[in-house]
Amino acid sequence: MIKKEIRSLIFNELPKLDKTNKYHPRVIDAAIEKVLAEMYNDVFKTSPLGLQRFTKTYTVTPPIFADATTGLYTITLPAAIIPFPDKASGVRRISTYAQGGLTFFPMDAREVDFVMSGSNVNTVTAKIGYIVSQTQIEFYNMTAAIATVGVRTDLVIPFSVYIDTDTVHVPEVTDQQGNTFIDRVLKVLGVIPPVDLMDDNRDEVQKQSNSGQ
Amino acid sequence: MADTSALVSIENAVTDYLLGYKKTTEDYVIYLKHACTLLTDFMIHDSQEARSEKIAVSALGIIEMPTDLIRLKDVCVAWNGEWWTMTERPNMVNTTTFTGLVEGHDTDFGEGVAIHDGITGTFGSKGAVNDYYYAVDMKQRRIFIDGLVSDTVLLRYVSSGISATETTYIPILLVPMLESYLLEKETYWIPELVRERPMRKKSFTNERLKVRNVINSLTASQWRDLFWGSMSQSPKR
Repeated sequence: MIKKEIRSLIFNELPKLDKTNKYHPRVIDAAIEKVLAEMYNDVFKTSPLGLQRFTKTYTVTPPIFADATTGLYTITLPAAIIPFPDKASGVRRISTYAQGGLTFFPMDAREVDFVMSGSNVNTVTAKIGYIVSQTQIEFYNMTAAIATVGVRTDLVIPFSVYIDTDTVHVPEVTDQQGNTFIDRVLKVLGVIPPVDLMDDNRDEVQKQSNSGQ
Repeated sequence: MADTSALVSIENAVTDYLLGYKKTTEDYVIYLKHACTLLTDFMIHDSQEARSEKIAVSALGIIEMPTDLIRLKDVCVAWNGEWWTMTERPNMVNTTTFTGLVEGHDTDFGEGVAIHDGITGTFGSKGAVNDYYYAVDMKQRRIFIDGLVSDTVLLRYVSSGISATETTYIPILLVPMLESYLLEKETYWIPELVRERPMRKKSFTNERLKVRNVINSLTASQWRDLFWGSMSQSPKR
C-alpha cells in the first residue's frame, strides 16, 4: 500500500463518534509512525536481517568530502531514520555506487578507537566502517576513490518521511495480544477523546495560559 | 581451466563465514580481529612455513632482527646449492663495547673472539663442529654470528602471517578451522551461546587436528623416498 492509502484506511476505520470525525492527518501519521516503529523493532528482535525488506534506498550525491580540520569523512543522513539497538541503527546497509562486495560494515565509535589503537584489524582491512549517529554517518577508512563516486544507503525511515505516493511495507507481525497493525494504530488514536463526548461534569483542570498566569 | 585459488584473503574468509552462518555485518570487525589472532597462532604453533629474508651481517658480526620476527628457525649460508645452517651456541659472548658513540668489541672481554672448537684431529672424536655459530638475544633483538662478518646470510623465521603492507592471505586449508574458531569465540560475546562453548571448542580442536594431519603427514612419494633413503647401494655385478 502507498502511504496515503494507509492513512485513509486508518481514517476510515476510526469510530464515528462525532459529527465531523476529523482527525488531523498529521495526528494519524504520528500514530502510524509510532506503531510502525514498534513493529520494525519487533522484526529486528526476531531477526535483524529481516529489516532489509523495509528499507528505502537513498543515493548520496558525490563527492563525499573530508573535513578540512579533522580529516573525517562524514555525510548528513539523507533522511531521518528509525533507530535500532545495533550499530547499524536505521542505516541497514551502505554500498558502493555500483554493485560490489561487502565494502561497508557498521561500527560504533568505541570500536573505531580500539581498531585505531594498534589492532591488527587496522592493518589488514581494506573495508570501510560507518558509524551512525542521530544526524550523520561518519566513515572509518574511507577511500578517496569511493568518496568521489558516492554511496548508496538503505534506510529504515519513519512514516512521516515517506511521500504520499511511496509504497510503505507494513510488517505482518502482531503483538502479544494478537493485535495487528490497524488494531494497534486505532488503540493509539483511541486515547484522543472525541470532541462531542465532552463530559461537562468532569473535574475542572486549571488551564495555564501562555503568559504563565 | 583452473580451479579457485588456493589462497583467500583473510577478509574474504571472514565475510564468507558471515554468509555461511547467516550473520549480520554487525560484528564484522570483531570477527576479523579474532581471525588475525588465529592466523598468528597458526603460524607459531602449527605451520611449517618460514619467511626467508636475506639480511646483512655487520662488521661486528651482528644481525639486527627484522621487526616481524617472532621465532627464529635458521641462520643459513649458501653452500653447494643448498642452505647450510649455522649452529646455535647460546653461550656466545653477546655484548659490545662503546667507545664514545662507536660500537665495537672489547676482545679482552671476549667480544668478537672466534669460538674455538676442540678438534683433536684424530679418530675417535665425539660430536661435530660447524664453521658458523650464532646466538640469539631476543631482548636486544639481535643475532650474534661467529665465523662471518660484513656479509649476507639468510634468515628463516616465523612471522605473524599478517602482512603490514599488502593483502593478508590464508590458505584455503585453514578456512574450516577459522570458521570453527570464530564459532567458538562468538560464544564469549553472545550470551545465549555460552552453553554452546564446550561443543564448539571441541569442534575447533577437531578442525585443528585435521589441519595438523595434513601439514605433518607425508605423501606416498615422500614415504617412498624415506624408505629408499635408508637403503645402501650395492655394486652391480
